[in-house]
Amino acid sequence: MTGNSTNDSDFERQLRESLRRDADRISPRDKRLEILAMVHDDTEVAQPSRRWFIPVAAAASVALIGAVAWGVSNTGGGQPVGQPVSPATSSSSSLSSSSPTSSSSPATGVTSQVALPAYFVGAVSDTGDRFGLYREFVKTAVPVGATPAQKAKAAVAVAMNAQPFTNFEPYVQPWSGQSVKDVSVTPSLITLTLSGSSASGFTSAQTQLAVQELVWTAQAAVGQGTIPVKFVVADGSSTLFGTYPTSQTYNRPAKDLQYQDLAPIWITAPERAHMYKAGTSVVVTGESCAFEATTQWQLKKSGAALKSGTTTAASGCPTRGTWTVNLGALAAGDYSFRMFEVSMQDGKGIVAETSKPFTVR
Amino acid sequence: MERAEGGVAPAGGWEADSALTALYAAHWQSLVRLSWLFVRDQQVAEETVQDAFVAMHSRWSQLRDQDRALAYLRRCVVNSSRSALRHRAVETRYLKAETNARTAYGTTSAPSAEIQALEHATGDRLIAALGRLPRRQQEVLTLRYFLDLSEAQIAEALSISAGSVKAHAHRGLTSLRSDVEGTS
Repeated sequence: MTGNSTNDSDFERQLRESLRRDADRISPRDKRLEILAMVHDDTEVAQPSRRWFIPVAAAASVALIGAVAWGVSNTGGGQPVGQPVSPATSSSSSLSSSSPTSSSSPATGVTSQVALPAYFVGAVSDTGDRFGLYREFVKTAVPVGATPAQKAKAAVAVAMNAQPFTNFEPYVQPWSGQSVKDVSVTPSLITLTLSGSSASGFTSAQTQLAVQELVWTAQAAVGQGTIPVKFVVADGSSTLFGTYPTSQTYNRPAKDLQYQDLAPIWITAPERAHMYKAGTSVVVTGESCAFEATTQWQLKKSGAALKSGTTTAASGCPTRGTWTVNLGALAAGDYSFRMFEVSMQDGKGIVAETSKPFTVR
Repeated sequence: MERAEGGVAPAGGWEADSALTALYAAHWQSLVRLSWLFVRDQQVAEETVQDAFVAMHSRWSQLRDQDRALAYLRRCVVNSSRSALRHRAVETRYLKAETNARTAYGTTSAPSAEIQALEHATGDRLIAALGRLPRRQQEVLTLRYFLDLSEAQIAEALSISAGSVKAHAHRGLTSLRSDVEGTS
């Protein structure tokens, strides 16, 4: 037996063709981003009970999309989303070395497009009085064979530039006008060198999250767990936002306290403006940290609600849980999926909400 | 804002990412379809393969080779699909799907005229007969005739000997032929 079809009998050819035709009845959905999220970030999220078979691995870094060469410099803060960031720099150092890897090592000139996770500070509801971190995967150019420090620098540069997202997401821009100058990584410390100590006019809740967004982003890009993050400000400032001292290190909250940083509801799929082929099922997935794990959803078309329902995540707050809503096959058109949590105090107020547009063609 | 350290072990870094991306591009579709042929539930099939990729990434430091990683992925997919079938919820969903005119998850529309016509074709009788074979024979025949794997590759994917593969294939084909010819 060889697996080669040339020696098949008619019966075997029939079987081969039947299996192929049977398997073609489904169209596997793209799960690249979800896999990226699972291997890339160490945010522990409770999974639905159906995921019983393989232990979920965590923490790593990002995926290559395809090697391309770019010649663009990166100082953070100014690149539009989807455009190459980070100069072509590389380092032969590794994390196993006791010396830190730096993002300013010699250049090689060849970069690859990768999907880097970046965290942003955004309002968690329309009232705009509470904020949390949202995660975006942004295609970014980094050097082939990039060090963790180089990836972290590229990711932090993306995170510091919320402007490209502000037309369609409730993100604020606490790092406007600032950039990341350098990143160094050792097994015990990530050091971010920033150009300045930040913009003014933000609330203390926003500035605290602004510091944390860089912590989450750098740690996710480095992919080595919760290595403490230290800040250095190139202009000599001893604090960030005039409040947070650069003399101390910063880290993610413990697992059961991550609700302090993360927005209560994320939609992780579809991607923004994803296009589905008509006739295929639209399945929306996300994470939430909601009372009794319960959130409500609406499917909107042209502003009007077409469908609505309630969903239960795999876990309730304080543990984040994943949820899935199968919308079935939809007619062609532009849609928006809204997930929200209603206040348990009055049954009316919206505690948290987020939306994602997509298209069926 | 000083926070306690948690820590997660490194999972392979850049090389693992490259392997994951290359293997995803080349094999995601076929592996999901392979799992679906076993579990008949698209969501479970996708999650099975998704988890296999995550597990492969986390084990990259031991695998260190795309061929070995692909063999590992196949083994994960077959084993997890088998486990999934044992799971009551999946079995329930499968039975419901069968009752509801072959609507796999993700293909919830009614069967087309073409599919209904195919119900009576030899191909469907073959697939139905394949589903009645013992699990190991199903796996061997599916890996052989859907993924075109060699005897050695099937043995590796199922963690059995090449001799067992040959025996399961022979018995499976004989039973399948007998079943189909007996019902035609």
